[in-house]
Amino acid sequence: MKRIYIIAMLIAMTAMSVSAQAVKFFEKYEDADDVTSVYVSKAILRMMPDISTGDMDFSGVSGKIECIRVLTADRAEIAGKLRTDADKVVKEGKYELLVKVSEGKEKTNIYMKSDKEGMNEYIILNGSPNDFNAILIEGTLTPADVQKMAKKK
Amino acid sequence: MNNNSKDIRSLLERFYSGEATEAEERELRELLEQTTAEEFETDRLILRGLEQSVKVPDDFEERLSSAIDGWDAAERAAERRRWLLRPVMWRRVAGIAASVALLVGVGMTMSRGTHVDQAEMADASGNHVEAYAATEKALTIFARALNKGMDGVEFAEQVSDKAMSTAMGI
Repeated sequence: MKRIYIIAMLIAMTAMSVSAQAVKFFEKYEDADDVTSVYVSKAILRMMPDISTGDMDFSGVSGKIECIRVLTADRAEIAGKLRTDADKVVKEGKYELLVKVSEGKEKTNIYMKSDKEGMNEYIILNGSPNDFNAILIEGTLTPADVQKMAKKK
Repeated sequence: MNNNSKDIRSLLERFYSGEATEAEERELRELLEQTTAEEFETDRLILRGLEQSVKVPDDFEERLSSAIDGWDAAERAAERRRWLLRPVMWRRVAGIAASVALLVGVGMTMSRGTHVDQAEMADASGNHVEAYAATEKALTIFARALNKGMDGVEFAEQVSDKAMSTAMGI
C-alpha cells in the first residue's frame, strides 16, 4: 500500500513538473531583451468584452480560458533561440501535435495536452525565419470552441 | 565543703539544662566564687563570661521589630519578582501580544490590500488594452491555424470520397 502511494505521488509530481516546465519556459524569457512577453490572467479575461472583429468572434470564449502567455521575438537571432527552446519543451512535455500549417515562410504548429479534469493546455508555435511567437493557452477551451471563433461571421 | 560541692553540682546540672531559676543562678555564682576546687574552675569562668555579656539596649525590641518588618517587605518584593518572571506568565503575555500583533497585521493588510487593489486597478485599466490586443492576436493565430488544418482534413475527405465514388462507378 505504501509502495502504491509512493508511486502515485511520483507520477503526480512528474505530471506537475511537465506543465511547470512549459510555464518555466515562458517565465525564463519574461525579462529577456528583444522579447515581448505578455501574461493575461483569468481576471482580465473575465473583464474582456465579447469581441467580434473582422472574421473572428471571441464571444463566449474568455470564460473558458484560465490564462494566456505570449512570447514574441522580432529579431532572427533571438527568434531562433526561442524556437529551439520551445521545441524542447513540447518534446519533453509530450504534447500531442494537433495541427501543422505551412504558408510560404510562415509555419504554425499547435500542440495540446489534456488532464483528467478537462483542463486543456495548448502551445502554439508560429513564426517565420525572422520572427517567432510562442503562445500558451490554458483552460477548458476545446478545439471545437476555437474553430467556431473563425467560422462565425 | 562537700555539701557545697554537692550543691554546686546539682545547681550546675540545673543551669546547663536551662532549668535553673534566677535565684539558683545567683546562688551558683556565689558558691563557685567561694569554692577553690579545681573541678569547678571551668564552670566558674563560664559563669563569669556570661555575666560580662553585652547589655541589651533599651530600644532593642523596637529595632528588632523594625528589622523583621524590613525582612518581611524584602521577601514580599522578591516573591513578586519571582511571580513576574514565571515562564507561565511570560507565555501568557507573549500569547496576548502575538494575538494583538496578528489582529493589527491583518487589519493593516486588509486596509493596505484595498489600496493595492486600487493602484492595481488604475494600472490595469491602462494595460487592459494591451491584454486584449495580446489575447486577440493569440486567439487569431490559434483559430486560423486550426481552421486551416481542419480545412485540410475536409479537403482530404472530399478527395477520398470522390476517389471512392469514381472507383465504385467503374
